[in-house]
Amino acid sequence: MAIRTRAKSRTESGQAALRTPVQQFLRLPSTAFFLALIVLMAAFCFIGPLFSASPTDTSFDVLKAPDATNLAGTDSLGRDLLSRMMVGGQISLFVGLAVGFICMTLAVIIGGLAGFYGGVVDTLLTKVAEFFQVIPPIILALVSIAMLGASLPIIITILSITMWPQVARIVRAECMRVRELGFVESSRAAGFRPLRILWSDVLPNAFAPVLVATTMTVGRAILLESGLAFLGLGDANTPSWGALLNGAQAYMQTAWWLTLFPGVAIFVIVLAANMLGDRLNDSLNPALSRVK
Amino acid sequence: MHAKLVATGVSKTFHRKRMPGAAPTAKAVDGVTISVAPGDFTAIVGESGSGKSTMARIMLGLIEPDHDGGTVTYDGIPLSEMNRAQSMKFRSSVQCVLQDPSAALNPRKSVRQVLAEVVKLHGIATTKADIEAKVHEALSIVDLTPTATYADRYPHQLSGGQRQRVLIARAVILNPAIIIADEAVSALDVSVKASILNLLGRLRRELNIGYLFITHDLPVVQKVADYVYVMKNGQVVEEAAKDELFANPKTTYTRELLAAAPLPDPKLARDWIRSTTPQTEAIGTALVD
Amino acid sequence: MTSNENSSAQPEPLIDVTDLSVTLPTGQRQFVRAVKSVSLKVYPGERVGIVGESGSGKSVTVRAISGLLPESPLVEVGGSIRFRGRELVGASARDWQDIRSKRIGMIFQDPMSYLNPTMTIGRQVREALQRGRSEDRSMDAAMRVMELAGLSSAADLIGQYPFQLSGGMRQRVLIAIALAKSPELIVADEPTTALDATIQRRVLRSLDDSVTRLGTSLLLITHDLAVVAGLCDRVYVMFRGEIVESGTAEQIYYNPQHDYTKDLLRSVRSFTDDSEELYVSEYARD
Repeated sequence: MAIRTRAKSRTESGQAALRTPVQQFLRLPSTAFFLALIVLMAAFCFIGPLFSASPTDTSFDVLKAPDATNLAGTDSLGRDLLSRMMVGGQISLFVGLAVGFICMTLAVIIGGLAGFYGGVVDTLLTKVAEFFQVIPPIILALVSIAMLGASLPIIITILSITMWPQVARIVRAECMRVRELGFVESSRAAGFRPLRILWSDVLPNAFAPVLVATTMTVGRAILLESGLAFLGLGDANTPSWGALLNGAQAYMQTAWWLTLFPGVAIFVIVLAANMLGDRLNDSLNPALSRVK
Repeated sequence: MHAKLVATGVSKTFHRKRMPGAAPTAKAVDGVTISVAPGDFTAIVGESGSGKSTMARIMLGLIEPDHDGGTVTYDGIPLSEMNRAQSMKFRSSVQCVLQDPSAALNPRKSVRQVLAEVVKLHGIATTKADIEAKVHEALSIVDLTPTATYADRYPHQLSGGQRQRVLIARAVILNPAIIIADEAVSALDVSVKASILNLLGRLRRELNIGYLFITHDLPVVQKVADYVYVMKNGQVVEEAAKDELFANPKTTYTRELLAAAPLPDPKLARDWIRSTTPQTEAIGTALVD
Repeated sequence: MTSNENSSAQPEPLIDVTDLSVTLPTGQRQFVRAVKSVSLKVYPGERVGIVGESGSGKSVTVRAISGLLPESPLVEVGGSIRFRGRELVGASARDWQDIRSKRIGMIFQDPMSYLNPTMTIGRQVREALQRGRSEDRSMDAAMRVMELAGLSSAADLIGQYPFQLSGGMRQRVLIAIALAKSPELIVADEPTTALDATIQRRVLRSLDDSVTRLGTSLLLITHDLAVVAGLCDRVYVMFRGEIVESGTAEQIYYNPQHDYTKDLLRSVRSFTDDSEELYVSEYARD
């Protein structure tokens, strides 16, 4: 007797992967969702200012809770918090993306050369990466800012210096894997020069994990920058969300909106960046949805 | 005067990290002399560990023999002494079809890109139109028609046999004198295997290409090869013209190899299985199969 | 479908597959019916071979029978697979556990993927013993099973790790692990394809011996017509998700009925006969 059974019933009886409803719900948001979220926040930060008050306008009532005029309330100088957040977000996002981009570039060059060539080159470059990796970011920040002052370029440099080795490690491992594949050998036999092979054959195939690592680097960079700004190590002239939090410390008990909104914003953007990286990883690694 | 690819007394030692019970260095290839000329169909037969794949790569110039381990010459010039121009000429005249089940083709390049890039590298054609023409020419030579469809495809859109044809197209597009093929048909279904081997035979007749065909699969060799080298543990244990080798194998190992291929016949195949010993042989502490 | 099966009174089949179909996702929201409608039987003590080229669906069929299809809700299985009368399609995880540890032993193509690289051989065989039906679960019993599988120096091997063994020996370890469960059926999917020809012969002999001595059934899947000819009593020929012909080995090889079978045999034989060119089957998918 033939039984028509769908795989779902196997799920119910336990053979296939069992997902509780909660787990299914949490998996629901796709890559597109988090990407959209990030795009929305970017729009908020960069396009928003066209429609809101000036961030330096102090004409509003001081320390006013959120209402119709000031959707996020005002701060101690009577400035609209929402517009300050928009501008602050520009800084946070800019720092995150800049650090992400610099890390990716450094990682691809150094990790790529190390992984592809191996031998002495690899040993040397790995030592370089290890050196930078052990530097604690906060200490480096304190020292550098004490000596050179706190400006955006300095902060971006500090963060990039301490974060690139992790991505480089991934690039190196991927290149080491890809260089063993058949088509790389065929390219050598065809007469292509090594650097050309690295650029044209190896790196494009090593890229997926790098993309994932970079999105996570962006998230972490934003978090670190916010942390530094919160500690007062940010660029005073360009207040990021972390800096807003710094200024909100004195009013934590009285003006809750000054802490809440920037805090939530940081949380959301970092979560979105990490989730995006995670989803990207899933979609670039189609082990579950694909069958050979 | 045919340009010959000649390896004389080639040896290659690999230095391996120490593993308990294993020798620290291993001679993958030991004093091997092999030659192939355009129009030949020469086979190197051996099991895994025989050094045949290493030998193929040495003859392609991908691996260098030991310092005092013989030379490989093409058209009389040693590979190690070639300047850039001679080297490029060597690379376009001696092509390869190397099998790697995981990724013989770059998954991110289309068939057209794969073919066009070698054409551009060796300057066979320079204008976009000429290059495109060459691509289509190569695809039709290997029977991947309609060529326009295949040119746009990516490796994951091709079957195993089609991928092999693309590899052959890339080898043929530069009008080579010799093609070195390492296990080029081993992973294919029987009917596809037959089809590809027929293709290779046809290319040899029409374009006078010489093949150095490396394989562990003896039946394949029986049909298509002219001359056979048998390798074991890095050395050539026997070499002869194919008919001679199959009729009068001189070494025990060759006889073993010849007996190792079963026939698709229940009576014969059952005897074949039951007439061998099942056990492994233990020699001291080094266990061998 | 042409069938030359004997239908005399026979004991209950060990494996009874009726109208099996398997649909698999191939990424990008596309699906393929890897197995369209397969019906086959394996009787106790029998050796059955499934022969087919790539894309025939033979591996997927066997994985369905062993309960090893990918665990994804996108995989659809239809039809019936009965093991001694017990329906397996839709069975619980616990049922499958029981079947796989005690009743069906599996041997697959790449031993390294199925052996734990960090565990000694002896321990792995012993674990299989412990999960299986045998009463004797000592290291001695493990060594006996290893010898049964053709590993003559079992005492030397138990302390070794998979990476220290050659391909043929690893494959025999897989055979030992499969036998250790005292299974009723051994399923072997391309067990010797990755091995050198001389080794293949000996491993097949080991498999042949062990199956005979233990009286287990054998379900052998391969593209190699010669291997099936040597090891199996009955053969099913698969093509594109369906069985196109079945019968005894003699029937299939000496008197094939279906065009596909005839073509396949002709192609294989053209490698070793006197024909000028190699024969390319009309069914060749390229």
